[in-house]
Amino acid sequence: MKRKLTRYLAPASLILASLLLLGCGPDANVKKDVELSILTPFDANIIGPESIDAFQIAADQLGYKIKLENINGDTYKTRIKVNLSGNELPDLFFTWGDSDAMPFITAKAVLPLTEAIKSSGFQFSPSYVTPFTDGNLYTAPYTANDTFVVYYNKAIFQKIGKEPPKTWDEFIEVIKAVQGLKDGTYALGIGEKEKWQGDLLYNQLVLREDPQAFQKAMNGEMKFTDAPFVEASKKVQQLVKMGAFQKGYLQMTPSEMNELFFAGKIAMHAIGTWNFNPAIEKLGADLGYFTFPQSKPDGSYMDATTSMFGSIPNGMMVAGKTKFPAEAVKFAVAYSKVVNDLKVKKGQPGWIVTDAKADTPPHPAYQQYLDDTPKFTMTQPWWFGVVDAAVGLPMRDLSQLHYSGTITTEKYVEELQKILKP
Amino acid sequence: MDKVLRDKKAIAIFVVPALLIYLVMFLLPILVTTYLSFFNWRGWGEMKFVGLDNYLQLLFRDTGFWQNVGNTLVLFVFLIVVQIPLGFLFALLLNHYTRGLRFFKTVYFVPMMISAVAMSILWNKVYEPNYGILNQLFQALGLENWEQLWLSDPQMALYAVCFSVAWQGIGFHFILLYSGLKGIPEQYYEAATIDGASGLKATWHITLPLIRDVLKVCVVMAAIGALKVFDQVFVMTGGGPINSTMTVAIQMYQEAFSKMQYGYGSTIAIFLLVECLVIAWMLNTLLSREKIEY
Repeated sequence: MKRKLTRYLAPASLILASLLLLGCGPDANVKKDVELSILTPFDANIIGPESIDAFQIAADQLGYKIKLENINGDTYKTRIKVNLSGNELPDLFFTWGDSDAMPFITAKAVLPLTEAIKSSGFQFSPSYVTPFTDGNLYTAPYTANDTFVVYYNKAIFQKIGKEPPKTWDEFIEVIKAVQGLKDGTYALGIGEKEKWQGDLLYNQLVLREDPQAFQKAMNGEMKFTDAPFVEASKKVQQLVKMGAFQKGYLQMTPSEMNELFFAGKIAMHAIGTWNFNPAIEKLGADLGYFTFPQSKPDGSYMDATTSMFGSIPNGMMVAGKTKFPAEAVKFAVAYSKVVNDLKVKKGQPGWIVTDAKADTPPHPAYQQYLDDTPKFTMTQPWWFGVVDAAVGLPMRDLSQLHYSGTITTEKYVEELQKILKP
Repeated sequence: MDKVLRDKKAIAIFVVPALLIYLVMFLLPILVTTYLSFFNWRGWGEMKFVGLDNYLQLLFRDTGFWQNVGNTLVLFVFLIVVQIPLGFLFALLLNHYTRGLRFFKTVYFVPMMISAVAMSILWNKVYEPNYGILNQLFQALGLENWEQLWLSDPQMALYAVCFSVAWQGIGFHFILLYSGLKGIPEQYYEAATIDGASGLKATWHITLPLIRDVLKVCVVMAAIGALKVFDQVFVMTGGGPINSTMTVAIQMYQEAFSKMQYGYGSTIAIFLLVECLVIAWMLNTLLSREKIEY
């Protein structure tokens, strides 16, 4: 009996001892079961499916599990703020750059990615890794910086016999020509229900008048009632008065407007480069692109464009309270690299140096944009991105009023000054 | 039963859970919101005590706020004037003409069963100026002049929103009033007919006085519904264009969750609470009268 007991007890003790040693050792070699929660507002139809697929690819590479949730953009904006207030942020989440990212950083609710980026060995383009004032990096980019462009429908341009406009006067001529068709085609599309599309257009118009105007006005070297802002406002008024926009534009969502543009009911749409993806898919060979027309007769300032972000890129952040801090920051950086490579393979610009090559040649309109991009020596972030939301939202309310045509230029610029530099 | 009702422990067992839920879900949030309304707080970081400044800002310095109160009051009047008379009319019709009763009861009540968000998206499509059914209908009838930018025209948007919100609530008032009508004994109408009162006269002198309590409930419910309306207006217009459909509830949401001014948002929430309590009390007082018995 005693011998029998020893026969069973000895190996059992050995196994138990081994398990204890494995569990208690300082460098226990048992891989933790890492599961990361991820929340984004990503819409595959707009930003491309690769931005979503990359999460699983990165997770597989690192051997992590992920719980990914994608929700509607407007809902997301509210939810992530409520999550921040309740200290309930998911392990990884998306943020727009600059002032949108600031609350998370100033609340010390996110982890710096600085070390993870450095130790990854990935070579990021310098503008994507400009350190925050505390010397840290907080976002892992998920896309190249979006800039402001004008999309157009080539079939409609063929019908009116016009070339893409280079100057403001030519732009107005195109609008008049489209209106002359009298077949229900609208000249210019804008989805102003959410108030940001008109705001971006005005930012671009001001930039064409003087690329430094906004910065100077914010620094107090200029006023928002000065010439560049007034001239840009007059151009908005001109567009409104001549009925350049589609019927019901003040209450049309960007996606409803897109549907009209993709259906060939709108000739031109001035917006960010994120729209290339769906526009290529829906319009195919009919899609054309041109740089926003010049305002100055001498063609100056055409090397400047407005863009999505300035110093803090849009991208993924890691919550400070995550159960897996080391794994989460590693994952954020790995995701950035995977999505970078997938985008490069699709012929889109990347932000990390890579060996990946484009599988197929880009759409001609997109190729033209890629060719034009190096010409921009100055990019200015959209104003909303660099001001606090408490200032940005009244600015956008005013912008919608501007596009309703019920406020004069003088009153508009006065109000703009009051909001941005009270 | 009497024994149970005398047993305080037994009463406590039944009452305490409900009381706790009420305290945690209703009273506690109100107290926390009141507390927050005296602070300047972004939802994180330091909370700065500002005393009554948020209230002074709301009542005297926020020019948009009173416009939003005005919009809410337009909705308030619209709902009472449209929902209750129409609900009463449909209830009267179905009380008199029983043919197709089930079908019509379902038809009137269906909008109440569908979520407000789905309904609002549907109305958005109806009002859409390019391919919306309303403008298409006018075109088909040769009434192009009647076409409108229903939700894009700041002069028109509030009324378009009011109409769709009112439409969704008619079924609720219809059901309440129909139940009220069913509770009136048939003998009263028979006696009235013998005395020469029928039709409108009977409705005025018998029906209306006898469903007065139900009408009061309808008015209070419609009023409170209008004062705190959020989802339908938010989905349809988001308060636009140029804030022409902005209600107090939407402003509260925007201040708290878009601008991240939790303190100021809480102040608006307290205003909304007080406004609802005061108006409900006023309506109760105005509409109170001794019960009529025949």
